[in-house]
Amino acid sequence: MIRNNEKDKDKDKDIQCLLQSVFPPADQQLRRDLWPAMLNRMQTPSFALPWYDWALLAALGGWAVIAPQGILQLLYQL
Amino acid sequence: MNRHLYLRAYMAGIAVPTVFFLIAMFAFTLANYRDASVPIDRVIVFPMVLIPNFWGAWNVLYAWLNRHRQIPIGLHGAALVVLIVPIGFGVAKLLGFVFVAHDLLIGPAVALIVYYLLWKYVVSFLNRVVDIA
Repeated sequence: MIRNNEKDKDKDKDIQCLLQSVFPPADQQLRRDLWPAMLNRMQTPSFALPWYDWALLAALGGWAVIAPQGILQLLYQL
Repeated sequence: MNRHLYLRAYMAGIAVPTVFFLIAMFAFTLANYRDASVPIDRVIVFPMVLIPNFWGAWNVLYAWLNRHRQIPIGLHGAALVVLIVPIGFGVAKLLGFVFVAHDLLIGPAVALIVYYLLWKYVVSFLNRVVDIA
């Protein structure tokens, strides 16, 4: 029984050595400072409207100026 | 945040028209103050009761559909106009106030644009806040 256990331990060690030789050790330190990238992301605007949404907004604004009496009807549906 | 997906979707959907209702109420009160012929008590029923519930239910439908396939939320929201506008005009007619004829054409087109933009940017933002993709 004791001999079997020793054999198993040897086997485990062999497997461990084999795995360590195949897989490189994981990076435990950052390769670069991530804070500037994070800061850059925080400072850039979170969303940008595509041109067709700007066009729709402009059309909406134009409509509100031309036909302000329709705003109540629009609010009725909101 | 995996629990109560549809409840979260309903709450995110109902939030936007609830906020807009304040603006609508202010505008209708102002209009009533200037022109007493605006039947505010009858006009307010549709935006106060039906619209928020439609939006909530529509967002629940979006959350359900989104689990099966990706759909553009702006177009999904714009599609709600097809349901809301006829019901709105039906309620208006039922309660005895009418819209000017040309608004029957322009009104839905404007509502389509407004719904598209609101769903694409505002409801979509709220959905992200409550963790609905």
